[in-house]
Amino acid sequence: MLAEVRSAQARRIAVIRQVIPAVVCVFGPNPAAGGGAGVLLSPDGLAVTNFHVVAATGEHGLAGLSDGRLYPWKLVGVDPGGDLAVIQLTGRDAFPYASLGDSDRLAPGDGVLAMGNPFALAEDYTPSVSLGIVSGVHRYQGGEGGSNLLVYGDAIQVDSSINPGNSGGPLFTLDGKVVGINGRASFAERGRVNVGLGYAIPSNQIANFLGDLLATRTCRHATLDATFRDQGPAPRSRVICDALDRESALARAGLQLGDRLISVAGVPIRTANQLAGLITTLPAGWTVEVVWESGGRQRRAAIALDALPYKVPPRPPVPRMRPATRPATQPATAPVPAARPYPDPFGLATAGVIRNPALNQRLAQALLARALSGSGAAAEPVQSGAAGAWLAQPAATFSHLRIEGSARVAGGPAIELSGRQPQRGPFVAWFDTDLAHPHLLAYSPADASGRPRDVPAPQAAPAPAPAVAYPLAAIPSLLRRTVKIRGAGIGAEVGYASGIIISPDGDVLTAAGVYTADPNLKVVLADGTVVPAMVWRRSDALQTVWLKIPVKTPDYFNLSAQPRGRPGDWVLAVGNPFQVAQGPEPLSITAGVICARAAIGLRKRLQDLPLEGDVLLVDAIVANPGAPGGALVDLQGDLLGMVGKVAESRATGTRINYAIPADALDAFVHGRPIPGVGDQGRPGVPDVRPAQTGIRLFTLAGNRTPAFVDAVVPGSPAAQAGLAKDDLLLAIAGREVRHVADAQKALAGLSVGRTVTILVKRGNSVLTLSVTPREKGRP
Amino acid sequence: MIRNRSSGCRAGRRWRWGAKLPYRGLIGAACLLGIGSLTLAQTAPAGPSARGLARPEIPSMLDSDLPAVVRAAAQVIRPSVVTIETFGDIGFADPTAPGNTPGNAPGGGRGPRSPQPMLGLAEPGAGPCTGLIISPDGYIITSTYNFLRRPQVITITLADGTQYVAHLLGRDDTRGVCLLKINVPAGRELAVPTLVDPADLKVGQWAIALGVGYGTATPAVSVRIISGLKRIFGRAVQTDARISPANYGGPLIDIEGRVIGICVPLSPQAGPAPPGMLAGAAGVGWYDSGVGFAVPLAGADAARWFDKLKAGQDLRPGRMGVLVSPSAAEPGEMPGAGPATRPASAHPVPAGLIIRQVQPGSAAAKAGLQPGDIMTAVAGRPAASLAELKTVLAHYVAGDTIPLTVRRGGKNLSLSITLEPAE
Repeated sequence: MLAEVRSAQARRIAVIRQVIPAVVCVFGPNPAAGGGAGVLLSPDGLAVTNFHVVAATGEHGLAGLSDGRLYPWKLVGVDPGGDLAVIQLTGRDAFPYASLGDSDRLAPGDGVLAMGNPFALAEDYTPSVSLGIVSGVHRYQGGEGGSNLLVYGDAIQVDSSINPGNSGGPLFTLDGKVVGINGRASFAERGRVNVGLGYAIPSNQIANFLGDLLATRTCRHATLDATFRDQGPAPRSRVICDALDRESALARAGLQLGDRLISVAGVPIRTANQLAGLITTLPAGWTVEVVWESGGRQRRAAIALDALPYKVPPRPPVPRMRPATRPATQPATAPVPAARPYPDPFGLATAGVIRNPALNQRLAQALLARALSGSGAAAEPVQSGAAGAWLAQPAATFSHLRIEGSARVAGGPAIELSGRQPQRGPFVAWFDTDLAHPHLLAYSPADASGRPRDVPAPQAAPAPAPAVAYPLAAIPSLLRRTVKIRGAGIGAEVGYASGIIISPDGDVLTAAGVYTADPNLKVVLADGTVVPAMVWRRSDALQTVWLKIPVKTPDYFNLSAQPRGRPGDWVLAVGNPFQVAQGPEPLSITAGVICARAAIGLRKRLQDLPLEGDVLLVDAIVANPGAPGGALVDLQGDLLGMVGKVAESRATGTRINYAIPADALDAFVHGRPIPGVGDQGRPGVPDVRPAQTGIRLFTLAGNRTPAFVDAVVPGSPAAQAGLAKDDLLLAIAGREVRHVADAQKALAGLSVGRTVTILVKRGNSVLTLSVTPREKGRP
Repeated sequence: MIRNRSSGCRAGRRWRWGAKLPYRGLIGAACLLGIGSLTLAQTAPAGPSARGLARPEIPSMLDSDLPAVVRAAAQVIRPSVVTIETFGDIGFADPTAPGNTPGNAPGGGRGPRSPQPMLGLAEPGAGPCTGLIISPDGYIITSTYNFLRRPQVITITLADGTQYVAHLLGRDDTRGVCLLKINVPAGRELAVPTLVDPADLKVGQWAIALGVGYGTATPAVSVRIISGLKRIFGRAVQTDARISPANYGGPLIDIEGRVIGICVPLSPQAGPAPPGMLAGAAGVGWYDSGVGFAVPLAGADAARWFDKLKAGQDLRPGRMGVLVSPSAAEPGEMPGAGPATRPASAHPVPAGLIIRQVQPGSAAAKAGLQPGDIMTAVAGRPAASLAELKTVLAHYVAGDTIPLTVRRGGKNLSLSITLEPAE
């Protein structure tokens, strides 16, 4: 068993060692000012990062690689809408590079590695690496301040550690392919520190925009010039057209208000949110096939996607000094206020325009040269016919080269390049988005103005890919057995949580919280159905609430399974932290191990929680708003416990990740005594006779001094136990004694005849003594 | 393909996909029309850009053999992990404990480990802390987080349940560790763990953190990987296992049960603490964030500071008292850049750090450094940037004397500097 673990570990170490040289620490001109990360995608130094990283550093800067050296970089293109940017490193003949994978193949549970420079810890520019799993796919995180900037419309949610400084860095699969660029995370009360939710831009979206980025444009994102909404309750809701611009391509193709949308670009549309997320991944100018239903008939059309304009905020006028043109004896002119345009280095206002034609041409030449040299993994045979003859020409014979931008060819993203060739004349060619090994996808001669004679058809949807397989067979049923809960929040307490279904008859457990007091409490099932919920019972000892919902639920957790969970065992936590999942969207999954099972004192801020009994402590982060009430399961999908309400440990003072064990929940639900809870088995009536031990404390120095024993009454219980003068009391009956006041309080609380343990320090030893108090006044 | 249309205006469009040709005729067509074009099916390569239909096997993080291995490794280290409890109010030093001076305790009111609210914690906890036995005669190492002030009474509980009184010896503020000693009864030898050579560590290997901070009898575990090596100027290993007060002072081990380092809160902004926070509390704000640190116990440096701590010395970061800037710097260029970025003409100034200012009365002033000097080597190692200087100085503490090579007026001088503590 150790051998298998060692070899799997060695494989992971080898993959990291192979890809880490391609990971970049991106700085501005001064590395000491901090920065983000990026990843190289081609040997000539082209790297992808986040737009917000270069927005902070500027249009040029320095980049550190794991060889310990800094290389200058220059900005190539930006995508402010999707938070992407391409930069070009220089200073080396051949840079190490990574390759993009297929982000559509990812499923929750897949292992991922996030690499970057959190907190700028990489003094030697070796990036930090964090291991985690995919928590969710196609997640939506809106733009800054409701704008259409930095929109993560189709993000991969991960629980590998993403912190400030990881921005722009790659997300790798465990076989070394870049499936995302990390750029956002959910932060809450702890400030800008990872709490288990990070978001990455998927590699398929990056491939869509790569052509426009290389063309040195400020990318623009697509819009349908129409809005859609869900009609009818989940799960049988339809997406219908709510508003439509009469000039839009959709309207001109015949779409009408109220028509039902079926698919866009080959992707079936299930909800309006999903459509909104899909559109954010598409560049403006692409043509995609849209299928809709109008008056009972299915219709389809090729729709050219319009561009969503960026809103550049206005800047107030700034007073400006005119340069002195008169002799120094004359006073300079008074400041003249003049409205200045907002500094717009990234061209938000002129998005779409080629900003740097010279750089564009150099990149076009490099791309073409690499493609013609057949530096792909498998050299393509030269095709017969005119295209073959074109391919056989040396790169130097091509002129007027220009990268035009992104295009959609054969149902996938391509880089469009135009140019001229002495024998063949003007042409347009389309390459795939593998920058290191570009392959020709299509080619067409062009007319004098550069218009291609033949245009690749907007492909009908490719053959449907097989359903994505989850790495664990149990995951789909976990997602059906766990629910979202909505209620009212108060102040800092949120009004949403998770819940677990524990029977086929509509029994749901969730964590105690203010939202359960809401008379309009709702439970949202996995398919999006919303049902009202009623509180049936509460347990203060378990801080758990039992709800009833009026539907049958064939998917449920079996509380009596109670798998044995030992420290070190893997766990998955299923829930809805930060309400990332809405409606029928799947819940989030995070992974970790069981740390321990123990009774632990909990508090919420400064107030102790009345929680009793053991809890399962885990290192998957579940102490987030929305996660309590969620399921904690083993890899087979059996319930280990229910995620507890957000609380801190009295022992460590930190937020604690824990779950109420399934056996305690089972006992609660069946009305049995809960293990470890309450004063079970304590016979008789409490004894209120005053007790004495014979201990005299040294009190002359005050109440807050250490509890030294000044004298022991001869023949007293303390004397019989062996207590002596100058002993220092450390603990009485398990309670820590810090000073005289603590000791007096503890001694006053003892009962006649009940033996207690007293811990004392004598010299250099710690002794445990047993003392049985007697009634005061009696010998 | 339209590229130069200004946003929002449709008039400037030249042509669009499909506009030239009737669209319906192209539905379902898998290839381009027109002479001389290539069909997509023929040229689409089988390389990485093809839309493969079969999902390649993607390995998972959740190695099902790992839990048993983790438990076995925890068993291996268990005899060396100890529970530390402290008693007595601050402000009253135990006169019998070596190293306690009245100046240690600025006045109290709260528990020994909870002087003031710290980063990220509303109210620090009051539970036990973790330590590790590092020698058979009773030396125990733990994190300074638990000993920000000198508590009056310290007790150690070993794995077998026996309890001893411990004394605090030295504190290493540069690494966040401190040394305790218990008097082991004659004939008893404590279990000492095996250490991993830091040179053998690999980014991506499993790392397991153990701690008793929750009050459990058996140490709680957290499992992830090694994220980075030589962090905090070479002092610590970085891990994304959950490091927090629950395991500060406890060991970070590999899957064989060997010690990688001691879990401690650290931050690159170590040094003089902000007002209101004691030195040694920096970094606790990153608890459970997936950025955690462990200080290795093996290596040449470790032996040196272990001896100093044994002697009861407190180790503080050493400072020189100078303002420097890299000698090879030009606007937009940094030393360490690749050769292609250096200007063609050779730079006449040697690579090193130019002294811009010398603080009066500081270690640098006493060593005889002057503004304009160029430091070319510190303790025998080149230091051409501030980061490199800090990495070299991380091997030393206040009170160490190190040699410097300095260029002044065209001549090379050998000076020596005794580092002083940062206030």
